[in-house]
Amino acid sequence: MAHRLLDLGFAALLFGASIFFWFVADGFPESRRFAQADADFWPKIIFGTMALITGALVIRSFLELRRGGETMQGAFNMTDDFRYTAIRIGAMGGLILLYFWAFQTAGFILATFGFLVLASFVIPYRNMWMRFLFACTFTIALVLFFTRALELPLPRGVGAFYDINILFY
Amino acid sequence: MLEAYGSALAYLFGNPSSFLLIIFSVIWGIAFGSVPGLTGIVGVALLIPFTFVFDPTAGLLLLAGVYVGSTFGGSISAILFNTPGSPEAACTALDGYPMAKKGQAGKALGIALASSAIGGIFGTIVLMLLAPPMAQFALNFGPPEYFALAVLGITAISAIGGGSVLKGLVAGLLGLGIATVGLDPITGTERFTFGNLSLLTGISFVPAIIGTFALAEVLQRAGERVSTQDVISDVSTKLPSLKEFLATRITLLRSSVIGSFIGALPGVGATTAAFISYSEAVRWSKRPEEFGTGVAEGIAAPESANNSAVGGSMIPLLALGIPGSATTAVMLGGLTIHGIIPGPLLMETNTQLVYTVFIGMFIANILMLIFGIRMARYFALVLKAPYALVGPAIVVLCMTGVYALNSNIVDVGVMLAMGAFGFLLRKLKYPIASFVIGLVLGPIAERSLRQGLVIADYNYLEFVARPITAILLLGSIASLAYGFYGQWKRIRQSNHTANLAKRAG
Repeated sequence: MAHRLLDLGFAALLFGASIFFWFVADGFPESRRFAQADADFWPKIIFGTMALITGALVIRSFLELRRGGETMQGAFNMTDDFRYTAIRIGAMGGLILLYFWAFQTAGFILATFGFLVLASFVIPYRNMWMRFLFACTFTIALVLFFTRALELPLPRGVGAFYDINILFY
Repeated sequence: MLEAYGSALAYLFGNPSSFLLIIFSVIWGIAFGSVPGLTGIVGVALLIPFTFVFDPTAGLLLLAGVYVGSTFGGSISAILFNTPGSPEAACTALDGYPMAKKGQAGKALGIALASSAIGGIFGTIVLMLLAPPMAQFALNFGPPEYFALAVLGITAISAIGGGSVLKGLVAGLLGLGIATVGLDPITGTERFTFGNLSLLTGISFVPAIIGTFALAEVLQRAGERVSTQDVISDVSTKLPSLKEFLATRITLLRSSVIGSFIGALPGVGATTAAFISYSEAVRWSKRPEEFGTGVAEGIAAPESANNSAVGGSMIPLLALGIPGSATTAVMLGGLTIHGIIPGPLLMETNTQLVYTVFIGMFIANILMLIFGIRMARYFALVLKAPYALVGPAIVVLCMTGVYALNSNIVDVGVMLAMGAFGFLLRKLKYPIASFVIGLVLGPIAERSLRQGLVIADYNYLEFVARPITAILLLGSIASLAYGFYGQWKRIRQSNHTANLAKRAG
């Protein structure tokens, strides 16, 4: 039931977004030469069609929801399994964002090593030594591969991190 | 044509490193295909940034090799783990795993390998024979034909994917919508940039596909409980005997033909080919009741079909510039970062590249056979690699690869945003393949439609009444009708089953 609600919510969001973007397209500057197939022509076709289809999806999801109305009770009770999944996905998502930030500020080596170690705790795994060994080896291998073999740039971070990283690549 | 093959061979022998690239790509492909959750598309997407350091021919050889290897790789986990490594191997598990459970895992792998190689070589020959004349024929195509082809690509993948047709269409439209961000290709007007200068050049394609496929996959897998306890890892591949091989020759031929044909349809790929071939194998079998218990034909049919679809799906990409599958849509991104625009003129302007890829795919199929025989047990061990280490490593490869493309952190931001969006689409069962095809075909469809209308003096009837355009648009309508009919049939069948269960209860 919760999944159906989510489905309805997402379809409604897309429906609203389609209408919004249709009006944004309507406000594009006009060109006299291509007046009949201007910059707004194609986006309006896309978002108009999308509004129609997502509108149909909203109605369908709503009817399905009404049909199963008697099972609404307890729809938002989270099972342990669901909570476990949500926490792990949330933790991984959060760590990826943290890595994105550290990638720019702390540079590649420190950010990657830290991310690999921390992220390995999100998914159950027992071998503690392997976590550190893998993170260390993989980071070094990537630095060598990118900077020596491919000669591609890697971020060095800012401030003191930049000064440290410049010693390595 | 002989001259073109000569030039391609001269390139390959003049650049021995290209053989090493093919070897690496096949191994990389088999490894990515064999691990559930990595898939061939992720394997191709992750390598795109690295092709930047090679010349375009070597880069495309690398991607094509991964595509060939990964299609077979999916069967390893399907047979040993009962979990297909990639969607196109789903049918292989139906008979492959029961055969492995009977203690014949090596035999099942051998049948899958031989069938994959035969299907793959068949598909490559079809590609070699059909792509040049098709490109020649497509030189007559004007904007209306290209628009109709793009529409067919999106409707076909939305309708034949097997899920909700409406959700498939919405995913395709989302891709088309995102492709409109940036400067209008005809008037140069800013669209949906909301004053953000970094959006002027549009949403970068490579970060978008790496995010939607690879990053979204890691997020998805992070939430799953994965057990590697049931993996059969002590195995060595046993190729079928001549007698066993001859017994499946009709199935192999039929499935290879089906695979090449289905693969060549814009937007429809190896998964559909494998399912249709499997059901045809059941329909033509003298003992259909044995399917699902571990019969050789049940492995040979999907494996030869999905591998021949690889060659088939390269036909529209190389001859028309329209991807034949989600993987070729990703490969299109690899070509465009080298400034190569696939299409009918590609055969004339980049003859060496196209013919080298033909030969490279042929070699990749033979290498796949060798590696499959010698290294199956090692690929089986890959299945035991802990995802706690593999998943974060993929995230690092995604970030580093995307950053290295242009040393641009905005690209990494786009990749992360698309990863989150792709994850949401997956969770709500909106097909990612339709989304990516929409993203790829968006600019082609828009430019063709608007140019076509200008040429036809805004006469819509004249636009759609051109014979090839009309046939392709009718094909789009037919594919949608087929998709809705299939969905209606599935709903009716599940209602019927539910009613029966209710009565029995």
